[in-house]
Amino acid sequence: MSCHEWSSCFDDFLDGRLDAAEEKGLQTHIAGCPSCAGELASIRELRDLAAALPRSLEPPRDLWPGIEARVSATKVVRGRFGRRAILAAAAAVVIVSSVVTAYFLGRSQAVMVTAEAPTVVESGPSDVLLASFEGLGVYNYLDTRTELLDALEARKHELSGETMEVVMDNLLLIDQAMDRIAEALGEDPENEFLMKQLAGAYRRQIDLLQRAVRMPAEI
Amino acid sequence: MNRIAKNTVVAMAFLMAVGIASAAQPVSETHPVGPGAEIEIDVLSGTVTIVAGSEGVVEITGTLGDGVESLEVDSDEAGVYIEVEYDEHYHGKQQVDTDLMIRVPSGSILSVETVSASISVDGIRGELDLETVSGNVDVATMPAALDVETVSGNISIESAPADSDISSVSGKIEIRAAGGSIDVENVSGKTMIYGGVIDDGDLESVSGDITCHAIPGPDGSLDIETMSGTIILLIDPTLVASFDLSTFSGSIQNQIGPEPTRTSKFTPGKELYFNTGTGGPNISLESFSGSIKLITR
Repeated sequence: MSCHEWSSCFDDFLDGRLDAAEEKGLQTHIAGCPSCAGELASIRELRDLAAALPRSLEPPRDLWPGIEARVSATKVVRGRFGRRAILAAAAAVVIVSSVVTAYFLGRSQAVMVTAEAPTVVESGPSDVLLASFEGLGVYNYLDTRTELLDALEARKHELSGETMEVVMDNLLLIDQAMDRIAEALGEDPENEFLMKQLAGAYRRQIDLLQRAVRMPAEI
Repeated sequence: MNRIAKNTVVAMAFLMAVGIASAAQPVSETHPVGPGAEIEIDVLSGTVTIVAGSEGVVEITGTLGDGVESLEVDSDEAGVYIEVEYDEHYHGKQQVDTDLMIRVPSGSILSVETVSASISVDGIRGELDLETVSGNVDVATMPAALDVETVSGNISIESAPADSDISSVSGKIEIRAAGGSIDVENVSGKTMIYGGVIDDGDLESVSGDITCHAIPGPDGSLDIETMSGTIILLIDPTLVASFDLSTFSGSIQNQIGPEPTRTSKFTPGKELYFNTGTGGPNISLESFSGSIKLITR
């Protein structure tokens, strides 16, 4: 069998679907073929990475129906998402961004010195933003984003510096938008338009991270 | 052997090795296939052109350029797998590109993956799945379904089929005519749709501008969303539709309806809902800071 034919068996091998003879044949081939061994290791790594991502990774395409229902349903939701809580949170934190602030602080130096894809540095979203997400019923935002940023960091050696820069520039743009919306929600916590905007920004950020993680390798 | 002679032999051996790797290799192969065959193509760089050819056969012609070790082709009745194998030890200049012309039955199902090779497809009616990093993609005729993904490569589609999923990160996306259900995502690249009537359109970007001249049919819908890009929707002034326009801090320019209103006294946000008659499609345009322009033709 050629390398191409063996590589078509990798998924079945990792899923334990090969019979004993096929498995032995594949293992013999892998032992003598560094190229296939490397490819199999990459697939195994990607599968492990995908398996480790949270099950709630796929955000609903349109969060708004659920948000609308929650907003109009009970006082409890409104109470939790109350003006006082938001303002308190706002007072406690500096509302400037999250995902990539640290990345941008060191970006030019990193790019110039190493000419490698820049590192993703997570400085964490503001408390007021997290409070806003909880108000929308999105409780796993931080976990989801952290998982995706970690996955992106693991892949950065496969992506060009230019592509990473586009991704990070646009993540920063979304982060800054989220902070501005959360700040406005602090002033006007029951404004449905703002909640819808925040939900849209959330979906776009998760979409962008997912796409970046799944992009074909450039290097 | 003295030192000069030894060095000369070494240099000649090196040049011969480089010469082998860098010589252009012509390709001409044919492989029989059954109806509805699946054709998979995997090329790193150069160009790949796929056109409709004779039924029941796949013809591969062209040139294998610098650094190519071989052309691997696996074929049977169900389809053909074509991969350009590269010499991993070749580090010379790419003076001769790999350019492949592949003629396939028009009803073939096509899957192409490249890194920097451009992809051109013409005359194929089957499903197309085209993926490249920095190569450009050009689809000249309408396939049964279309899935195109690039990172920085530009995408040009003459006629998007009813089931189209097109995305890029920083490449420009141009669609001459859209129809049916179309989903377009871009990050920073521009998106332009020059015409067509769609059932369900979903166009999104983060910072890229989106210009759309296509309109949804009577029962259709069109959603365009961006964070900081500009949205321009050109419509016929007689179009009957429901419009929902909103922006957090951008501007709204509307040539056919009322003025937008503020969404909150705490933000510069604006929103605008209006109908131009009874029924018709739903059109939603939304941005964070980008301008929204609803313009009449």
